[in-house]
Amino acid sequence: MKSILFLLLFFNLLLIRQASAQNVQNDTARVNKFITAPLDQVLDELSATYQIKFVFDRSEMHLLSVSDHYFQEKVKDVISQICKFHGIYYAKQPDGTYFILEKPEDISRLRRGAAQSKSGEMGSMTISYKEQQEKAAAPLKPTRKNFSLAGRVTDNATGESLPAAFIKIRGTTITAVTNTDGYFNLQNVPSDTATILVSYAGFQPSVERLNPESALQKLVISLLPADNALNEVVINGKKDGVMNTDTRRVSIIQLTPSKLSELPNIGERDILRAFQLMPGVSGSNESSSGAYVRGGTPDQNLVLFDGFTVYQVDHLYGFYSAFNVNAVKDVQLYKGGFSAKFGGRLSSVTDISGKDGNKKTPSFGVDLSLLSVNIYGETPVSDKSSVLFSLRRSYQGPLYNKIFNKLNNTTTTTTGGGGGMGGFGGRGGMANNQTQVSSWFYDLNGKYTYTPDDKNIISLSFYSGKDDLDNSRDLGIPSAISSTVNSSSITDLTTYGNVGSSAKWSRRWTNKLYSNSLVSYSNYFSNRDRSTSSSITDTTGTTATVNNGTFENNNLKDYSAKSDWEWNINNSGKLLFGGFASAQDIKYTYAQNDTSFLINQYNRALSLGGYVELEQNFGKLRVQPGMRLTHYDVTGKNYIEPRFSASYALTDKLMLKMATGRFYQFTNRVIREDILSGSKDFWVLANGSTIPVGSAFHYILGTSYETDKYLFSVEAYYKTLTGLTEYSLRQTGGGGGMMMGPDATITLEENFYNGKGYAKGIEFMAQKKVGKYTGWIGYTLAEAFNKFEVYGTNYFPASQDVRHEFKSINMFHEGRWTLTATWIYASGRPYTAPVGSYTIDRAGAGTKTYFVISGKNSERLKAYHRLDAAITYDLIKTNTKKIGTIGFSFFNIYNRSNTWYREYSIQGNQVISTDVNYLGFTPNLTLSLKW
Amino acid sequence: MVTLYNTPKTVFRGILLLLCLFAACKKDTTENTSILPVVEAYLLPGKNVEVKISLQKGLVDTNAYGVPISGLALRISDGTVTKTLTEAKAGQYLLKDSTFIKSTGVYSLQFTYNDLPVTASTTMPDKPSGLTVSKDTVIIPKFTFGTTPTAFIPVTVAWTNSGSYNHILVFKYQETWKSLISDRFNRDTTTSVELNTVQTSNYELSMNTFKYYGRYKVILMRVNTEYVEMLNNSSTSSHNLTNAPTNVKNGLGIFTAMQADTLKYNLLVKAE
Repeated sequence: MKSILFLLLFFNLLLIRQASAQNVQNDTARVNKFITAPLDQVLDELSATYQIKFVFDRSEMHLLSVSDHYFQEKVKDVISQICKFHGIYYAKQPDGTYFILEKPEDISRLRRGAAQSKSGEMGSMTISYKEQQEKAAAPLKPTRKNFSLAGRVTDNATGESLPAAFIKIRGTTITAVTNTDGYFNLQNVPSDTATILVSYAGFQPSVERLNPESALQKLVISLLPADNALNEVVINGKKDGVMNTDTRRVSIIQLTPSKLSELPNIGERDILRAFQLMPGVSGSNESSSGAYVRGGTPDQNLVLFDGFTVYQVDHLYGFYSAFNVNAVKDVQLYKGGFSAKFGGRLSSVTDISGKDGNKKTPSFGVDLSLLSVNIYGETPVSDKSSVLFSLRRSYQGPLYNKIFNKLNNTTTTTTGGGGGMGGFGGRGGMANNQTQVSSWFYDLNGKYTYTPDDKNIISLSFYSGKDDLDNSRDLGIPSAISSTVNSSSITDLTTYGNVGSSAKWSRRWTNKLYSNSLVSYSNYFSNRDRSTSSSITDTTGTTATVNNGTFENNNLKDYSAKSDWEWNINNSGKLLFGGFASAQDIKYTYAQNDTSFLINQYNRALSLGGYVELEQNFGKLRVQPGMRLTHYDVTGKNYIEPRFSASYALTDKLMLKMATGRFYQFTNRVIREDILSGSKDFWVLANGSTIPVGSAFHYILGTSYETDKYLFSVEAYYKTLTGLTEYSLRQTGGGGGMMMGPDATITLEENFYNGKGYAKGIEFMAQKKVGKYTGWIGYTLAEAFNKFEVYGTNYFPASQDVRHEFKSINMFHEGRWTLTATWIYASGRPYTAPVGSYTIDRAGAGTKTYFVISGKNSERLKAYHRLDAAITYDLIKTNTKKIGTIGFSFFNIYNRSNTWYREYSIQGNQVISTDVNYLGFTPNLTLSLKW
Repeated sequence: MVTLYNTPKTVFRGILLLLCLFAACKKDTTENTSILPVVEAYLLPGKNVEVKISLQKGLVDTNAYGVPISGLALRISDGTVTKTLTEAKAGQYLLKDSTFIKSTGVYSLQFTYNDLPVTASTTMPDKPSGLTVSKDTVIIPKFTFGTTPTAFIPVTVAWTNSGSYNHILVFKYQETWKSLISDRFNRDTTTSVELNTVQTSNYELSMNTFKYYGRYKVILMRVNTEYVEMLNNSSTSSHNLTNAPTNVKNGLGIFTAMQADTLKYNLLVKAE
């Protein structure tokens, strides 16, 4: 295979040399002759006669023959006819070069062969190359050695910068990764005639040969979007890229949304769901888009969107992530041991970069699914700026209702937090009488990017997402029942969401110094209004509106500013440093009857800090020591987080790596599982006493072995966690088990349980990266244990503890079809179960029965597994430009009843348990169009 | 190239090492609560001490109460004097001395079950006072369709509670012949009513407070937090299931003292 490639390369170089020698190409010349010969010879002849450059695979073309008589026909028509006759493709470059292809995807192979043939429109295929005239393909004499090279990687079609693209000098272990604005800096480049390989998931890899002239300039490498027929993996672990990836970085998964549509889905292409297919990220939590990374909980995962923290990451009880795929350019998940640049979370970081907007041509698109409508548009505003917007809104289609009802049916029977909620079941019964349920979610993204010159980029990003779950109903009390009450309605409204925006300024001061500064605002809100509203006319004839019930409100505001700097000190070292300041204030109120607040908290915190990190290469060894310091004003303490990661390249294929570090967390999310008794979750600030500052140590060890086609990787981790907080809000009604009257007294008791924990595991992955069949299998052996004094003196399995997890992701591409099948197996999660019950007489009247619990999370649910599949068909216009896709997705094909949780009730003195299951078989249809 | 041949071995060894590290994990053990006895005792000044001890019920047990535990040696102490209880009937232990529990003091219970010392302790709260009712009759309006019923006149029970103590309100049904108000929402056949009024000083009775017409004795009990905490527990989902709080060490249930203030006359609940 290698020899063929070399042969091809040689052959094509010959062709190119020939072409460059004679730059006059004329495909409008008339052909007037009888041709009968194998196609390769025909092309040779045309090339020689009309000075047209052809690139093709000789062995393939030799098998096709041409036998026709042409009368005064233009060369280009002749080529077109021949291709049409044989069902093959051609692509004409602006410089006149013709690529003759058996399959459209061959372009990449041929292009790689003809490494230096660049530029232009791929004729009807509209695949374009970077416009750069190659002077000569012959080997050049290097003029400089061991220098550093700066450049930028962009998307050729839209002009978007590509963050986290991977750059490598061929034949060496010298690599670089682009930053958020697509800039990179290669160090220790051996010579200015070296060849640079650039790869980025979802794009065709690019090969750039330096020459002394180009190496002096700032290099802009623009990548071509992978045409769909190209066989490629969708998710591209940093260590398992399409062609080359940065195996030197530890525990990072990168994802490009462009090909997400090929993965099976439950209604939406979902970036956070896609991560759940990778080892180390739990794939068995259907009700959470949030990432359970390596035994961590979703709130231990920092989610950044264009630099601002997003606190509400999902929609519709967690089934969908809050991020619109159409507005996302790149996502990176740091599974642990992450850089000193990030902080404030114990487990992981999800760094999402939004799209800047198309800088070249306006483009619009619409996605339709059984769940939502999604429209987006992006356009250049001037030659220096661009805008992007995307809007997604759910509608109450069958899929939405299925999920909504699933949650609502299961939760109406859930008794609320306290004894006073005994009447709640009755309410659930009432809910069945509801006349109208309206609920929806939406999210909106907008971004404006202004690039005044090649040194500065200014961008404004806005995100707003909201869920509105409305179970309200009008009681419609007939006047027969009450003369004084004019109207009465029950409001049961939950709204939550996140609004965030950031203004960012990036500047490349010199080739060696780059900065990225931003100010951001993020607001998380969660409101719960469960009340009855009555309009009452009293004896004097005055009408008053009375609101009774509970009003819960959590509002978090986060104002942040940060500045990240990157200084390439010398050929082998790079210094990252920066500062940050963040002010958060959290308001949490729990009110009853309009005015009386049961809980009225207002906490604020200011954290200030900075970090410094060195990235130093010693040949095969790369070390990255770092330090982060945070001053948290609530506790008045300084928190120092040392971080360290290193990699060692045993060979160019085999890599050893490790990472360790300390991590602190200052904000915690409280999750309440009994959804209907209050807002689903809310955020609290650590106060150093009842809610301690969380702290974790990570230890990661890994190795990867990567060939051109396959990647094998193993990573092991061990984490210790302290300062974990569990929160319980106990609500006490006035009835003590009685039906709660609207004006019954309620008290609330907040309990904070503190503890510690550890998590460890080992992740294996084998991936096939290229070919018609691609995919990976991943296996994780893990455990996560906690110890909370309130549950006893021993470690117990954390609720997210899953022992074995196996994932198999399979993708098969054939022309315009893509078939995908994923199978996930996870051993059951732990749960707490009653082993018995006891009944005691109350002091006054009645009895009460309690469950006896064996031990916290001592039981295991049955194993979770499911098979999903998707079929995607590309809609292609006649000129072979892809204009959209139709996708059929089948979730949980064999309709496995996976248990979500168990519900216990006492019927006739017996304890009855009911399994509440996750979604069964759910088909979905998605249509995606773009212009 | 030699290194290349060696590398898979190195990787293999590495993986083995990692697996070994992983295998060296701790085993989880959980405390066994299933063997603990259930205690139920309410201490009132001037009353005999009665303590019920029973087994827990199995999950599919259809009995109302657990099997009584006989043959235990229960002792109760007020800090200076310790007395032994006698078993009146299976699982029901008595101290026939109405002077032992006084209106102040700390009382503790002690016995051994399954070789584990079971202990509990409680403090007698102060006697509540100032119990009043705004009306001595609760009139339940008549519901007939087509007519406009009279408005329900709320009745408020109030007491002195400047110290924000926990109270429960008990309405003891005094009738021999039960007279049901409405068969709607009537899943509970208990005639008497217990309300958890928590730390307030008044409680407004609603139409739904009572299930039966008739006379009720109104008792206000000042209770300890251990009782209120126990009342409040009712988690039912495997997400949030916890053992109910108890003040019994090595046991379940409740051992608590309380004092009552009783209204001199009965409250009448009648139809319009």
